Amino acid sequence: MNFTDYNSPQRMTWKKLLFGLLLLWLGAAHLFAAPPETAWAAPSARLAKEIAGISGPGTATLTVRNQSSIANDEVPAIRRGIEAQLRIEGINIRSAENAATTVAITLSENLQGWLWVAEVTQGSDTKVAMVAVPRSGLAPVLQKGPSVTLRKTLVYSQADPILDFATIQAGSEIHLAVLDGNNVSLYRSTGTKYDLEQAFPIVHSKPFPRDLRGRVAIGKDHLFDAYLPGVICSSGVSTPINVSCHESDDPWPVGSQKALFNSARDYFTGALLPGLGKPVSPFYTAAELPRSNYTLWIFTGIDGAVRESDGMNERRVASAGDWGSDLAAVHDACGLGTQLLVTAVGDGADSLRAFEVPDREPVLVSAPFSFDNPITALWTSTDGTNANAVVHNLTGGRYEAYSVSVACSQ
Amino acid sequence: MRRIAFLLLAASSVVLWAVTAHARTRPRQGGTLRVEMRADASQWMNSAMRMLVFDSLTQTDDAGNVQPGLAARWDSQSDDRRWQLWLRPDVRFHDGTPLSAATVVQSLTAQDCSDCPWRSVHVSGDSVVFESETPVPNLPAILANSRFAIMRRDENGNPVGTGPFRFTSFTNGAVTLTAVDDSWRARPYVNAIELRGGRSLRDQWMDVGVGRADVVEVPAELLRRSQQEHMWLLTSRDSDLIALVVDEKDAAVQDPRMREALAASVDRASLFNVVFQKQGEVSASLLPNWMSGYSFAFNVAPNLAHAKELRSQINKSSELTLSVDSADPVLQLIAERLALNARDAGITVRLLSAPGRSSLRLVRLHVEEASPAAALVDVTGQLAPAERAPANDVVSVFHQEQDLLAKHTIIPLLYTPRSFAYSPRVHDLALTTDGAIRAADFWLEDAK
Repeated sequence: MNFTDYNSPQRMTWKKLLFGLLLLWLGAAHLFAAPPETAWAAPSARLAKEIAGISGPGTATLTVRNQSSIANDEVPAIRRGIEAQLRIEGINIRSAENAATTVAITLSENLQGWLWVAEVTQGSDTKVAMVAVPRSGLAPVLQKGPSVTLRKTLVYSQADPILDFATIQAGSEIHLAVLDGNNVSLYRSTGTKYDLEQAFPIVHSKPFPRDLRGRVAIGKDHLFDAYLPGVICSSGVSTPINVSCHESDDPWPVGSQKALFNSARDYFTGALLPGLGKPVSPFYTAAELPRSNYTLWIFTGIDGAVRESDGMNERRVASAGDWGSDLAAVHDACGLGTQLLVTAVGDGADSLRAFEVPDREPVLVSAPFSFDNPITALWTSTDGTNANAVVHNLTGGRYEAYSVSVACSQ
Repeated sequence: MRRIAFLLLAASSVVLWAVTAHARTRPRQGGTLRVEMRADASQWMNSAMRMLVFDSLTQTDDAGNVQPGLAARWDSQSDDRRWQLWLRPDVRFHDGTPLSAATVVQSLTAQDCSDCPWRSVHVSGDSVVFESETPVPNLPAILANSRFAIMRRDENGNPVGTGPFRFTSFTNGAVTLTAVDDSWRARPYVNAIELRGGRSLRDQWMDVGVGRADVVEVPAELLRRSQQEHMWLLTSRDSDLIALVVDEKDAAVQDPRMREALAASVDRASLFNVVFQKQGEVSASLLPNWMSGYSFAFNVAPNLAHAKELRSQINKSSELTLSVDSADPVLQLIAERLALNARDAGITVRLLSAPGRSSLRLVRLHVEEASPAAALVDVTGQLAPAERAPANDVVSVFHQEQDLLAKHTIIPLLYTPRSFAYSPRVHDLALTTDGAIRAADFWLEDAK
């Protein structure tokens, strides 16, 4: 008898044991990693049931085409999921020559969500089955942007236009106050996202102006104040937090000054408290650039001109012809210590550029940082180290609140 | 020579527009928006400006979701047979009359409502109640239609609404709409809109090129040309349906095989390619694909062999008549091509340019809604009014449409968008999904 082809039993060495455990762990990790199929399992099952209701059990050929915003690299997973569900319904996928039924699935969509349409053909008869698949909402998630000269961090997004926002440290907790035209909403950070604590409705008797603007300022002896045209809302001191709104034309905080806002329009009147010494023309936004022995102020005027004032002299900034209406000063450890972030328009999308003002003439110190969408609000954050930018994402329609910071070039 | 001059003018306008670049600025208040249209200005209430003067009880956003309008909230009872809508407080008509449940009911009952999806509408305290025999699950979406805008007439018979602009005058062929300072939607940025009617397309395009007009019309069949001329364009989603409507009571088309043969003979692709220069979409569905997501499931390809076979089964050799609006040259062109398609299938179609009884009608229909269920109610209400079970979700809308189209009494052909060209001094001009001027967020560059 020849035993040469026989594989004799081998002892399992510890290395092989470890390798086996590793394979097991990898397999388990793969199983528990919620593969993409999982998200599509329910609609796949529903569509397969609908298809089986038309064709009955048997063989079918299957095509899947994607005419929706679902990423193409998810389509193979969707197809696998549908195939698996069809098998459960007694339909086995075969090549065209071996199949009695043709199933052509189109991953389509409409305004409300995705729509998966199956055209089931048997002979010359075609019937249609479809399932609506709702798009899941986007959860507000804290994200970190790449480290570049200008850096944006998505803080929050929502459907209603955000006017301003502020992060508030209260003990070990981080809160986020988000101001829109209807509410000032308070969120608590979980570390990965913000959970709504409470939304306080903003009560006002007169209609707000169309280009609505607003500010959130952190209070000295209470959490925050929210400023809107003709309305101020203030939070209480103790928990549970209360917010009360009252009609008021009190000035809004602008750097170290307070500025009167025209409650029927979208700009500041130019009246400042305590004031710069000389009157200021009406303006949309202002930035404060501290110097060793004075403060330089830059204003974007409602006449389109950009002006700078040191309290004694005011001059137009001739080189600012391509600046937008919104700017914000950011104080950091880079360059002169204060950069001016200014809106501008690129190729159909708004961008921010950073300037420094060594003497009186602004110097561009960054490349344009595009947001690909309109910037609807830009303010210096309450602590002055970042800018709050609100971007209207035209694709999804949501308003995104970004914290924009300046990173020093290496 | 005149054409060359026009083209040179257009080319110079392109250069002018190309070098104008705006930094992002906050909106400015003031100025007059100058709009031109082909129709007489007295027809402004049928124009894209209508919803700047009037409001409906509800409105739909770009995603097709129903949002509050003059109604702040609503509720349904009795399986959606009874709807109660509570009005927004402190809203006034432009003449100072407060908006009330009574004025809303008066407005809704003043119009022809033979195909309205409710049996009665009445006042209940500070709310308005709609009642119907059958459930109407999508009534809030239906009420967003401008057809159901709330309006009244002043002592001079002029229309009065609650929107951000008020009708002020109609003189010298121009309508003036003036901004409402205390509008509940907030005051518009521009002070007024001047709407000049009776302007040919050629004049409109020239005017916008030289800065005499701010917003002018661009019909779908000229959209490609306007793109080639680099005009500043705003284009809506596909919202105008062109369809053949078959009068099944007419002896010539009573046989369903004749109607099916006619439907199978239609070459939509050639209409799309030749007449509309590939703008819009071919459609054998009553709803555009962006809205329904399923229109491709209705076959758009012609099947001449099938059409001939069906025609051969019918012994009768009667002539079909097709009526078409003689004032619409594009519909005339489409009608001629449809007659040729039919002839290839052995069907004789004679065009009628005068209104009257005919086997077929070629119609152009505007669809305002963005929700499939409400849009189907609108389209079928206009083309084939009948008592139908309500559709709520898109799947039941599909089945309802499938049943309706199987009779071949309506043969959808194409969907086209609505477009406008505008001057670079206009900012933030936007259209609704169906091509109406959106709210009043536009503003003018040179306004102070």
